[in-house]
Formats: sequence, C-alpha cells, structure tokens
Amino acid sequence: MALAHEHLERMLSGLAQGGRPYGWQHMLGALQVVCGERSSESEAVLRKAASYEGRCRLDEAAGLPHSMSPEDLLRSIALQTLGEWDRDRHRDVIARAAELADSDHVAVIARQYLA
Amino acid sequence: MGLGSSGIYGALTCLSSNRLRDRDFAGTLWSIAMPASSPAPFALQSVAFGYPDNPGAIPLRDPVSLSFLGDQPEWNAAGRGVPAAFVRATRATIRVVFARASGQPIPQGVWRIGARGQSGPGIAERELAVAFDSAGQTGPLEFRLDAALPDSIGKAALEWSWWASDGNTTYTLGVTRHELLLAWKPAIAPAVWLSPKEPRDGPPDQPAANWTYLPIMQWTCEWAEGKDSPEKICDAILAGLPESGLRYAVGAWNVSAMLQKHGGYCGGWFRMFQAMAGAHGIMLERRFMAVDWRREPAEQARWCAIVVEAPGLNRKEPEENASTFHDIDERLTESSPVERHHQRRYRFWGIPGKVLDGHCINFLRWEGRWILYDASFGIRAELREFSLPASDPTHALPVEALGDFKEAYLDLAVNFMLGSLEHEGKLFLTQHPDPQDPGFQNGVTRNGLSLDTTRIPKRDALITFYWI
Repeated sequence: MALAHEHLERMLSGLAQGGRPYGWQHMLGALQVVCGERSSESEAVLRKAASYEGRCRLDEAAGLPHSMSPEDLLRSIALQTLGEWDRDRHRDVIARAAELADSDHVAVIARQYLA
Repeated sequence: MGLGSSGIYGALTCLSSNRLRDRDFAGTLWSIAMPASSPAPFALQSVAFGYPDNPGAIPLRDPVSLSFLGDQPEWNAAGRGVPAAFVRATRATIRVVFARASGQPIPQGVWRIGARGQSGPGIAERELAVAFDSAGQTGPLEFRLDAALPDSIGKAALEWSWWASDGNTTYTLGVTRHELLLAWKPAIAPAVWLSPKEPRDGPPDQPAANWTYLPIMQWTCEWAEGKDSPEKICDAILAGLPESGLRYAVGAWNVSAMLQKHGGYCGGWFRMFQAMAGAHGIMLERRFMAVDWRREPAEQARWCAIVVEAPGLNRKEPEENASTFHDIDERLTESSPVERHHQRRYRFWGIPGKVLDGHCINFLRWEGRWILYDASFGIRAELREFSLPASDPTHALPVEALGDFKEAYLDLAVNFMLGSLEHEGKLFLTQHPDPQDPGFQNGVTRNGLSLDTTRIPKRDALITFYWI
C-alpha cells in the first residue's frame, strides 16, 4: 500500500524513478490502489492530487488520457474518492479541484459532492 | 452618378492616367481625362475592418499571440495585410486613414473619395472634409462598401482602386487588396466551446463580442464554401479536417492548445469541432461518454476500456505503445476462439465504480434528427430514435436506451470492449501495473478479454456509459 502512495507522490512532484518517466498506466495502477482502500495516508495524497497545480510528466508514448488532461483526470478521481469517503471533510479540496480544472466535466462531477 | 461607378472609372483608367480632371463636378458625367501632372496630395495609410462594434464583423484572434487581428488596421501601407471576417451578405463599413504626401501642399477642403472594386464590391464614394493632424494623418474615416459582400460562405479576395477628387482634379491613390472571410451566420458565443482556462474575453473595446480563432475561420470558409445548411456545413467541415494538418493524440485538450500544438485528444477535438461550426453560427452539442467499469463476481469486470484501432486524424497508426490483446471476434460463447494480437490500439480507460476517461463527440439537431460527429476519427452517423442524454455523472446509461446509437455509431467507432472476463475456465484479467511490485515502473497494463463490439448484444445493460 505505502508504495502506491510513494509512487503517486512522485508523480505529483514530477519526479521519475531512476530517470524513467512514469506512464499513464502507472498512474492508473497507483490510483486504483490508493483509491481502493480508505486510510489517512490515502486521504492525504488524494487531497494533494485534488488540489494539484503542477504538470504531470508522463511518457506520452505509453498513451495519454483522451477526454481530459492527466492533471484533470487526477483531480477528478481524487475528488470522487474523497467525496465518497467524506464529502464534508474534503469539501475544500473538492471545490479547489473543480476550480483548477480546465475540463468543465470535473466541475460537473464535483457538483454532486458540493450540493 | 458619381465616380464610384466602375464602368466610368474603367473607361477613365484605360487612358493610363493617374490624374483625372472632371469638367463638370456637379454634373452627372466625368467627361474629360487629363494626363497626370502631379502626384496625389495624400495616400492611403491604413484600412480597418474588425474594429469594435462594426456591424457584421467577426473578431479574429491569433492563436499564438492571442491578440486580435483587428486591434490594429488589417491593412496598412507598411505592408501589413491580414484577413478580416464578416457575416455573408454584409454591406460592410471600414475605417480608412490617409497620410499627407510629403512635399505636397496640405490638402484642404471637401473631397470625394471612393474605390472601384476589381473582383467584388468597391467602396461607395463619400464627400467629406479631410483634415490632417500634426503627424500628417487623418483620423479614421468611415466608408461603406458599394454593394453587399457575397451571400455565401467562402473567401472574398477584394481589390480596391482608390481615387480622390477635390472637384477639379481626380487623383488615383493606389490599389489595396484584402481577404475577407465570409461566415454563414454571426458566430456563437465562444464561452460555448472554450474550456474554463482558455482566454475568453473579446477585443479590448468589446469584451463581450463573439470572436473566433483565425485558422478556424480560414479553414472552415474554405471547406464549407457555398454550403447553405447546418448539416451541409458540418459535413463539409468534417470532410475538410485532414487539411487542417491537426492530428489526433497530441497532448492538448482545448482549442487554443490544439492550435498551438497542432492537434489534440478527443477532449480537445469536440471543442474544436464545436468552435468550427460555431464560427458560422451553428450550435452543436458535445458529450463525454465515460467508460463505466463495473465490477462483477469472481474478479470479472465489464468494461475496463473501450478499444479503438483507428489511428485518428492525420495519423498512420495509434499513438500508443503496442500491447497484447485477447480478442474474440465472434459472439461470445463457451467455445469462442481467442485470438492474440500484439498491436497499437487506443485504450480509453475506466476505473472501478467512478468516472474516468472515455470518448468525446458532437451532436447536431437538424430537421428532427440527431447527427453525430466524431471529429477525432472522422465519423458521421445519423441516429434514429435517439435522445441526447442529459449530463449525469451519477448514472450510467445502457446503450439500448439510446435508439440505434450502438449500430449506427458505437459498432463502427469502437472496435472492442475490453473487460476482465472468464472464458474457457480462465480469467482474462485486465490489470494495470501493480505499485507494490518492485518492477512497477517497467510494468505494462495487461489486457483482459476484448470483445468485438458488433458481437455484443444490445440488451441487458451489457454496455453502459456515463454521459456528461
């Protein structure tokens, strides 16, 4: 479990491991684990992801998300997970994710947790 | 009758004169042409089209500098010459600045000025007092075309031969050439197609104006030339997209980023297509159909991703590393053969129980039908018994609730539905790299079973999407 958080933290900090960039599939792998089990550690890293203002450096040859940028999908998944776990407690970062996103779908998705 | 009449002006200019004298200024005929003996006392300095609140003008924005072309006159004597856009059939007005010729006496009094159009409307003559400031220039003087612009989408290349008369002498002021882009109708509000973070305001003096990007207007005026209905215009734009040079699968998800990076993913393409139709006043809907990854018993899942084999616009192959697929190309039965293929395909991923990725498409409501446009992959489909799903990220809709959406579009666009499914006693598991694995960063996603979309029955909510 802790390794998934470490990897996700690294992705958020724009760092690669051993010089090789992560791919979109690695982000998905890490997110599935982090979002799959509620813990304070998961909540902490997902709060960072929801309010992420950086740019993910992913290996583009491995494919990228189609409907929105990796950063917006990261925010979207983070806010959905936090919203399901405790929408009141995480209202601030859910709103922040919607505000930061360049995809209006993120705002649409956030609305259900902010209502 | 004035000198704006092209027939008379043509007769005069054929004398190769650059100075024309009218004997009877107040009369109806300009009867005598005299050879030039002195140059014109002033010259054209600039011609502006897209200035604030000019009726029919559509502000054009440069996608790189993000400035508006009409922030300064589109034509000037220093060599600037950029297009302007108007709604078709507009009898446009323009603003012209003249500069006093050096070494000439200061022109005074009332002048009649106009321009003959060589390949379209000219400029209606105007009688006006011309005054020059200390820099030797007039203020912007408003003129109007002597006829409406062509009444169809396209490009008008106008050439204007300018003249000015002080009542005694008529001078030629030179020739200017202009490209006008003619839209079908006034552009829709850019807020419809812009993403939240794109620059939004119109030109400085008209922030609420409906503007568009220059390349969008240039491309669409060419592709949809002469088209006269929303359906024909959208069809022409779809057919023309390859000529834009824009590609699928470039890391851009909004219109300005796509124009700067020369391509984008579908999240940008459905905005781009909406912007292209919107430049001609056509309103398209856009929808994001998100993959619904539903967990099923025994680690099965349906569906983890939609799989597309087409390379997308201006691509020869999908821009995604090859991976190994386990395809079933026929209706799934206990004995359906599984074919193993290692190839490049796009995978649009879902995530269990949430909304993640998916495909983005446009819809036109026209003559009682819904027409689907998939700009990313150049697909058009007419849908029957279809209602556009409301945006709802909380409930996934089965395709059987969408009329013939599956047969008319999904079967064509999405080659396979990828799931984690048992087959012949074996679980074909879809699995992303495991972060607990020491070799995580070298890991690749394992594809489960990919079923030919056409062979999946349209019933029992076998295929569902979130529509947003």
